[in-house]
Amino acid sequence: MSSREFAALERALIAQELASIVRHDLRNKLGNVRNAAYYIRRRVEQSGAITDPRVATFFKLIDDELTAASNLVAAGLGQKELASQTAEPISLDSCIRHALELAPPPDGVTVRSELAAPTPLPIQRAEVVLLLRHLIENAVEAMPDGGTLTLHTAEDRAHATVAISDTGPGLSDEAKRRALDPFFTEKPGHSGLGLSLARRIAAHHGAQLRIIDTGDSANPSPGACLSVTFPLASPAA
Amino acid sequence: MTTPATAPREHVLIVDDDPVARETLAAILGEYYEVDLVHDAREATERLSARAYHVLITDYQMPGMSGLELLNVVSLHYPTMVGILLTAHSSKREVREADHERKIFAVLTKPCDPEGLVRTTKLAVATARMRTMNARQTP
Repeated sequence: MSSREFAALERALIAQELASIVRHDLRNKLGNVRNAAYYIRRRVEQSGAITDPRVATFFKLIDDELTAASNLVAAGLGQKELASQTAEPISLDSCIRHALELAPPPDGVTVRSELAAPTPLPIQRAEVVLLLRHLIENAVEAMPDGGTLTLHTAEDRAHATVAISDTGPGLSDEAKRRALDPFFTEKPGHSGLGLSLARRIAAHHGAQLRIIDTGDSANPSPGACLSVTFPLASPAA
Repeated sequence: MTTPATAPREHVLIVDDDPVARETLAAILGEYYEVDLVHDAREATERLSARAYHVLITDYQMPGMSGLELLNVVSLHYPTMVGILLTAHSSKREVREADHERKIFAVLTKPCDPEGLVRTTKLAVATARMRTMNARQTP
C-alpha cells in the first residue's frame, strides 16, 4: 500500500470517527428529550387537567418520531463500517515494522525493538499499521529533545500484544484518564483524534488499547506506554 | 402517585456524567423511588459508603472509572445491591462477560425506552429486596 493510499484510508477513517461521535452524541440527546417527554406525559395524565385527546395523540407522536429518528441515526453506528477490506493473516511484528517505515523517528530518538509476535493474526493490515503508526508518532512527539522509543511485542496461546513506550515526561493524571477520548489533546495544533481513532481500530479487531500506568504524581516514572492486545483468533470466531 | 406518602421508598443511585440524562432518568424513577444523583464513579463510591441503596444505575462510559468497573466494585462489596448498566455498546466483549458472570442485573442499550427502564428498575428493586431477605436468613 502506498503512502498516498494510507493517507486516503486515514482520511476516510477520521471521517467515520467524526460521524460516529456526532451520531453517538445526537442519539443520547434524542434519548434525553424522549425521557423528558415521557415524564411530562406522566405528569399530565396524573393531573387529569387536560382532556383534549390530541394531547395524548401528540405525546405518542413525539415518542414515535424520536424513536424513529434515533433508529435512523443509529444506522451505521457500529464498528462494521471500518471493515473496508477483508482480513489477511499477518503478524503483529510485520505490522509494526511497516508502521515504523511510514513514520521513521527523527535523529535523536533511538529505536529499541523487542519483537516476539511472529504468529499471523486475522487482521486488516492497513488499519492496524495505521493504528501502530499513530502510537509511534504519539510516542515520538512526547520526546522533542530525543529519547528512546521502545517497540515491544509478545504473544501467548490466545493473545498477541504490542507495547509502545517513550522516555518523555509521561502523562498527566488527566491525560491518563482522557487520552483516548475524542478531541482530548494537550498538544497545541493537534486535533485529539489520533488515539481515539486508534482505539476505534483496536475495537474493530476485538483488541483493547490501554494506557499502561508507568507512575503517578507521588511516584513519577518518566515516559508513557500504550499497549494493544489482539486475540489470536478472529473476533467473530 | 400510587405509593402512599408514608410508605418507605427504596433507594436508587444514578451515576451519569451527562447532567441532562441523569436529571431526566431521576424524574422518571422519582415517581416510584428515592433517587440520588452523582456524576462519576468516584462520587458514587463515596455515596455508597455513606448509605444503603437497593439499585445502582450507571452509565458505562464516564471519565475516570467506567460504569463497568464501578459495578465490579458493587458486586464485590455490596452483594445485595443490584446494578443496571446503561450503554451504547452492549455488544462489547467486556460488557457481555460481566453480564454473563452476573455482575450486572441488566444491560440497557442507550437511548433506553423509558417504560423499559421503569420495568427493569422495578424488577431490580424486587431482586434487591429478595437478596436482602436471603442475606438476613443466612446464618
